[in-house]
Amino acid sequence: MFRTKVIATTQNLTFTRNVAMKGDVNLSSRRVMRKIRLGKARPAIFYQFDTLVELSDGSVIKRRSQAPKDEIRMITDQRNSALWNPNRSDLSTSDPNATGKINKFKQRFASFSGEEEPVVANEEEAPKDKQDDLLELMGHNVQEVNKGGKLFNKKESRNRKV
Amino acid sequence: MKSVLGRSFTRAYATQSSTAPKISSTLLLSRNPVVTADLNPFQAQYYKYQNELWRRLMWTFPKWFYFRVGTISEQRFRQLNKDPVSNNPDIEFPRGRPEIRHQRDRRFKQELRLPKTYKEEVEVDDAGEDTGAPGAPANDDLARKIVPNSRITKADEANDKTSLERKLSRTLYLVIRNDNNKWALPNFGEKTEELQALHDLAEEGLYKIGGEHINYFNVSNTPCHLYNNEVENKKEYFIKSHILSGEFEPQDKSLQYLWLTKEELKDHLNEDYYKDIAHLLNDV
Repeated sequence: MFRTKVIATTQNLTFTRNVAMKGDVNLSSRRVMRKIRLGKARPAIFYQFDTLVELSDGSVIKRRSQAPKDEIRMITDQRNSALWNPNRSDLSTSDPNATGKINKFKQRFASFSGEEEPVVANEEEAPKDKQDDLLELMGHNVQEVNKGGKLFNKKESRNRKV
Repeated sequence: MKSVLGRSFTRAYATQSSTAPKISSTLLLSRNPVVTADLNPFQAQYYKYQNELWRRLMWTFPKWFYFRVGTISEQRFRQLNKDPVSNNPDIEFPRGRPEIRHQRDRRFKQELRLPKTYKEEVEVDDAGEDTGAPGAPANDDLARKIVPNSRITKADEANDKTSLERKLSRTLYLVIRNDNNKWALPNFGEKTEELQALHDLAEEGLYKIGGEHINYFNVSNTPCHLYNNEVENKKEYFIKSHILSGEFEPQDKSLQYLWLTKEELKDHLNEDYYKDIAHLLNDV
């Protein structure tokens, strides 16, 4: 938990765009740095196409893009998204945030369950009980077969040695 | 501020109209620019220069990254972008030797053409076969050409000053012709019976004269300006807001209204009135 947090913060701190856009000139971080002599400094500018972007409502925006496409037609964008147009009634009223897997699942199967699934209070205990039941069913001297998953954790074993 | 107060104070005693000034709220309803601001010639030249400089400094397009060798898309791209004249050591180049790297002459900026989803007129001419076929497919085709919309609208051509779709690059302000047959920002007086917030007064008034099909955003409930109307013995508090969508539809047929830019407001409004509120209006 703590570890991921630290990583996230450092990522935020060291985030740099490797691509020079119009207006800002910074040297690519991928380049092997050597001494830049007088008159030899040149910004890293990738080739950029002039791209016309047509939004869903027909308005056209001109922008630069590195991708070799000079005409892009958007089908869903901020002009017909219910999230950005709360006052428009002609847009689909489905939840605009429902884009993830879980939301899709809920949309599909919400009608089957009358009530919400009971939240498991203690996450570790519940599966253990289930497993015990299973073992009881199969007999007393049954050994569990570990299939799949991580059997050996290199990092943990190393820590143990230290 | 002090002088204004002082003046009103003395006036209250000097003249017959000793009644307290009426409080009213004036609506400064603006339509923000829809497209980018027009450039003056110097700005246009500056941007053109910077753009050319930027194009010249660009690296060679990494064709090998975007188009895999041997694919149809690569072939199409190659057809449109022919290789430059190679640096043949046996040939004399009076205008300098070409410096070829990755099929690009490094002495100049790289200019590329991309294959299109529709038929281009130039290509049709080159082929010389498809002259009969019309270049433009059906309008609802998703593969049709993207053409930027005109910055000049129909309302501009017809000089329709009541349209919200005029002068897309400028801020427009709503003015109406008031009872004195003069153009002014819409002003709504307070009713004597109940106490009402200024912005509520303005909203109510706007809906009353312009219909309810207006989606607007009130910047602040606090007035942005005070105008002392000494002729009508009124204090006009200005409520600033932006129209976001919808249309101003006059409920009263006789009501005249206009959507005007700052310069046009100068011509239409009373001179003193305009001077007093000019700093509230946007130059762009």
